[in-house]
Amino acid sequence: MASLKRLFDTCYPGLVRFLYRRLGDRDLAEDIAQEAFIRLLRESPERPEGWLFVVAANLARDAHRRDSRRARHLELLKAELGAVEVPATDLQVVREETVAGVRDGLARLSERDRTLLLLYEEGLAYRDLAAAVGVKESSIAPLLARARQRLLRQLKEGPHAPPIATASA
Amino acid sequence: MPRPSRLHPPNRDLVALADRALPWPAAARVQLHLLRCDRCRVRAEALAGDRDAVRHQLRHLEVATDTSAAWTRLAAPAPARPRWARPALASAAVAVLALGGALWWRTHQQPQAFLSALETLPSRPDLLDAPAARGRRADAAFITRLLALTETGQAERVRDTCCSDHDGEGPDDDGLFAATLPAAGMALHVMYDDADGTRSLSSGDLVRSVARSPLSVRSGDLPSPAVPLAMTSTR
Repeated sequence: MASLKRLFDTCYPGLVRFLYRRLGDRDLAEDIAQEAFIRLLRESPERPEGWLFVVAANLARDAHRRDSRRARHLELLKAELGAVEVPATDLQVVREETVAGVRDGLARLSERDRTLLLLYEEGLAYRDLAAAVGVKESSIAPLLARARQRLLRQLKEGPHAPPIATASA
Repeated sequence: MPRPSRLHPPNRDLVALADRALPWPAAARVQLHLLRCDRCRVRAEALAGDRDAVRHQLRHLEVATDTSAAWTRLAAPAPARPRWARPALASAAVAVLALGGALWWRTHQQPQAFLSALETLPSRPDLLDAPAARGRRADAAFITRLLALTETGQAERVRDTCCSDHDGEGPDDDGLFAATLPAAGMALHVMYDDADGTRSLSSGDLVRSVARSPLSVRSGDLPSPAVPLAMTSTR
């Protein structure tokens, strides 16, 4: 139990951050992180840190698919009802636009690019990244480099740029 | 100025070097090359710049987490039942077990229980309406238990006459069996079809009807009329 607690303390914040960046929903991120730890208890993998993130990435992908459908419904509803605008300060506006821009940029990436970038930022080794996206470890470096360039190009071109088409998109 | 190596490292090595993912001998070789090759150094710096720029952008998507609260949620046991419910549940379990044991004991050991069980005969489809195979098995079980009672002295065989045409359906192959069970205060009458030709009630016969009646004051008498319990038609 003590080792699990240490692992939890070490990995949980990064896991939630990864999932939040991936899904944009803090509650859902925390729920999936918990689910990943529960599965860890059942499976007892050899390398739990990487395993946790790989499982979380898979769970996030499934959740994203479900939420995409729900989000489309919500957008339609909002358009019908008319969204209520809350006045915001300039700083808030800038910040919200920045966050929305990064989210939009990530959203336009392929699933593989997005997962690679976000998992790398949580400190996963190339080996774990390879396991997460199902490629050889030797392919990770060029894939990461291209994913970074795509994201930066998206951010530069803005929210109305066309989505980047990739082989895995 | 040292001369650059003729072999420039591939992009993947430069990326891995920037990510600190290049193993030692290869990392040393690439770093040596970068010392001497401006072009590769610029490439490596651009790749590292991309990595840093992405990291900077992703920092806009931060989220605060309460790790200790989350740990509590994870480590919390399933909601416990109220304390009062535990002895109550235990008592109920013991009661159910005791009741089950008592029923088993009565059904298997006590003639009273066996005869009480006979009252359910009319509702037993396996004895009344089932195909012959199932009916035969049920009849055999019934007859075996009844004869066992007579062998152990719990029932007294009063009469077992065979064979006549009691049911009016043809040959003289019907028998009448009567027994008393003093402890239970009742008499039992069985009309059977001597299917196995032993000319007495035996486990290979078919039960046509079963009736029981209370014993009169004088133990051993066969009172009448009997109360019919079951009529079967397995023929």
